[in-house]
Amino acid sequence: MSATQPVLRAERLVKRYGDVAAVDGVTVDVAPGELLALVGPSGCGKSTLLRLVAGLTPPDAGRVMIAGREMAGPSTWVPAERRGVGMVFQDHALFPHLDVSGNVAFGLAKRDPGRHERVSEVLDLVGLGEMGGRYPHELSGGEVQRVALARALAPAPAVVLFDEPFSDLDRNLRIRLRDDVVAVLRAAGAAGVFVTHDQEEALAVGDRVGVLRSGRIEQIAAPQTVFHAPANRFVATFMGEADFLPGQRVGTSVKTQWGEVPVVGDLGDGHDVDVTVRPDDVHVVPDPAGDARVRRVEFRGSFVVYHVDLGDGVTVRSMASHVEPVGPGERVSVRLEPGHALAAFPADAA
Amino acid sequence: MTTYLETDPSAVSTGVPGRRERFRRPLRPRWLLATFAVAALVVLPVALVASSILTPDAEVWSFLWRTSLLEMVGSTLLLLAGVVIGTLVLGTGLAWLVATYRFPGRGAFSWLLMLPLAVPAYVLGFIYVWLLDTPGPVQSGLRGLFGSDVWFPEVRSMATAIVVLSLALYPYVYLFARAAFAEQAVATHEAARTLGQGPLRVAWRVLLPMARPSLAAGSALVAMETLTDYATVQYFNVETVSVGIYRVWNGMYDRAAATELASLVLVFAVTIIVVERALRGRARYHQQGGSARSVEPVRLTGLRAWTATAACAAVLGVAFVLPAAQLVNWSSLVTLRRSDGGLDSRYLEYATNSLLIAAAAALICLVLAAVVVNARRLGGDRLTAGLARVTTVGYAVPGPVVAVGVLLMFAGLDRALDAAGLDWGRFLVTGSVAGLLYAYVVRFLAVSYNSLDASLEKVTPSMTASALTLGAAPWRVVSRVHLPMVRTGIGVALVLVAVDALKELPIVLLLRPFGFETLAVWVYRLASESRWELAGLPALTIVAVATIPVAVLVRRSMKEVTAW
Repeated sequence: MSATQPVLRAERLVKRYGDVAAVDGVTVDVAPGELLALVGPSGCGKSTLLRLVAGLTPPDAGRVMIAGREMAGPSTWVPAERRGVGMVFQDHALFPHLDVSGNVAFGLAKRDPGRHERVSEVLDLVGLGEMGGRYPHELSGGEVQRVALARALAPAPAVVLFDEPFSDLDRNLRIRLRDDVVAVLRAAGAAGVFVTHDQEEALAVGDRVGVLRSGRIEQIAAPQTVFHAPANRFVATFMGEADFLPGQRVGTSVKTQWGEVPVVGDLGDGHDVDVTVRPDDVHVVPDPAGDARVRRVEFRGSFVVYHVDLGDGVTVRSMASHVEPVGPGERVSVRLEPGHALAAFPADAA
Repeated sequence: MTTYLETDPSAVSTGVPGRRERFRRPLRPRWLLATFAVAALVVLPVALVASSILTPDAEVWSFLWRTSLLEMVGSTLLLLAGVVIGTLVLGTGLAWLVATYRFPGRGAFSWLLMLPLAVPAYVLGFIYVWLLDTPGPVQSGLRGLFGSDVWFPEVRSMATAIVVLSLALYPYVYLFARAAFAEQAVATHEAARTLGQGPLRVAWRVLLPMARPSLAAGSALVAMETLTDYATVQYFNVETVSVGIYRVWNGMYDRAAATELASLVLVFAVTIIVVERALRGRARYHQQGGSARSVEPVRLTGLRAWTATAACAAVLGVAFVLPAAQLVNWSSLVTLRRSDGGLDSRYLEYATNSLLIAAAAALICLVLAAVVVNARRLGGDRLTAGLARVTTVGYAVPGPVVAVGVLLMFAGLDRALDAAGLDWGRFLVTGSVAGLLYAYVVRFLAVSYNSLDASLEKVTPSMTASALTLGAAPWRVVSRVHLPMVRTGIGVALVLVAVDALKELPIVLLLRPFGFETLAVWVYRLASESRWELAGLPALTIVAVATIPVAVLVRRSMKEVTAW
């Protein structure tokens, strides 16, 4: 990525509302054609960040570069209509008084001779080639989102911003549409910044995932890295179910009561650490002599999750296919079988 | 693999970026500038009057003191108190009846009782002077029955003025009170009933206190209208401060005295607003939860039911049916009496004047409101929003104050033009409708603004943002997205301002160019000269036109009524 110029670059962006910094010094790059997913709890500033990039809100400090051109900076301000970014909103925001073609053509120059062709081209791209004459109120929820995407793509922007585009839709439709959107975006060659509060969605969509909290980026990396090698406890718990088990650091692994596991990074020897385990890293076997006890069995459809008391107030969750017959109250023994290195954090920095 | 990129410590360590790096510029400077210009346009005349509070002219005040200042202030206060109490009793009482009881005709009365809004006080006033004064049908009838020395209270008095203004203005309180009663969640009401409180005690201890903010708002509107009025009260020989302004300006062209009196009216107006805010307290207009089910009305039976019906019918009769019928009567008489059966030619001329000035005011207000509303939407910063609010203050400023402010501005303009060697300034000031239009814009811009603003809520912020990110310049966002979607709001804004301008009397009396007559002015002059029959047709026209916005209001509230 170092060789190519980023299509979008935000530098130390700051946006304050009163005393609250909604965006607090965020720096981020997006490479051409890359899909960046920004995820964080509500109020973490992810939507504000998007608005700063789009030019809908002026930053208090920092710089926004799009396709190598400074759009916002100490002495520059290019308003939204001259930034050439596409944006797709949660409420789709189609213009109700225009039909589908009218909506898609809105961003194209009136005198553009290729206007009609371009409209049918992007409508075909989103699979709505026959729908040009319909009005927004005649479309289904999924179709509305596709039109919104087609409209954003029509002027061929270098980057498309998505502000929680699917959170209004039901789960099945959301997953289908999300895959389609990624495919369409790739086909169009556009980069995308995708804001969501759904961790699973972020991991599934992003080439990279950025985790935000209180206006700051806690970590930004490939989905696997964010999931398996979280930069801190917040990222670890936010990006998936995580329990922290005490252990001692020995070289590149951590020795725990439940087995020795490899860890990522290097904290030095002899430290007391907490190692991050996810339910799929923990194996539970029935054992009348075991010193752990199943507190609760949570049925999740295709698998079950055991909530296990390890003593000393430590609990851990373990995922298993539900052929294994362990009931609440039964004694078990617990083993760590991650199959990959785990993240560990100094025990005192809770 | 990929890069990094986390928070940059240098930018966040202090929480405050370097001063030089920090920049706050308006998002839409040109739209902000336009909004600022409109706000200045609205505020300037009011500010000119206000500034004369700070620089009182001792000579003028001692002159006013020696003449009738105390009486004017006294009767203004008395009139305000009387009308506010009168409208509170009528408006709250009627609203309470239709909201909490079931009786014959309740459904119809709930909206019929708004109709008096269509009868301007200066029309209702002259009809009652005609009806009740010594030569009028009531006293003539009494004399016929009981002889010529039958006692009758003085009609041209403060008491009658209070009664007439209360009848004309009670719908403001009624509207607010009815909405407040309808909004009160049934649970609150029923909880009070189950706690052992009878319906009257519930009304006193729950309904009224909860409706207090709404009643305060309604009363404030009534007080403003009363303060603005000086036509109606003159029929009844009541000398308020507003009447004083008209006297010193129209009688003596004494601009200094008119200005000082206008500043006094402004003080009254500000006091009303302050009192309303205080009464409203921290309460909200709307109850949380917005339960659709409102208080279940109690069924009245027998005599009590018919008493309730009679009370509603009586108020509606004296405030609307009787005056409207008399206007129709006069209008037909005029037509019948004339040999050629045609209309008084002045009618068409004055009606055209009214129509043109109203249409012009409506259009100007619409354009300015469209600029401000869109600037707020496009800019979104607090400064634009604040300035947008400022453009609506004119509606809370009494008409005579606006009129005097505009006079002061135009006088200044005239001097400036004279100094520049241009002699058409005098024409602008005294010979054209420019001042009149200007005052209408100051006074009615809020009406346009509110209709457009309410209508623009249909355009979600993300639609505006979508249009912008698609590369549409702001004016194109406005013309292709905002305006097509707020068409109904545009229509409502035009109609409401036009009707307000058509009905308007105090401003036009002060600012009309010499010889320029509108229907409202004509009605006022004819009524002052006791030529009732002639006033019938123009007054009926005004009432008919003023029924349009009331009908809109009724239709809107019909939805509430069906939910009852």
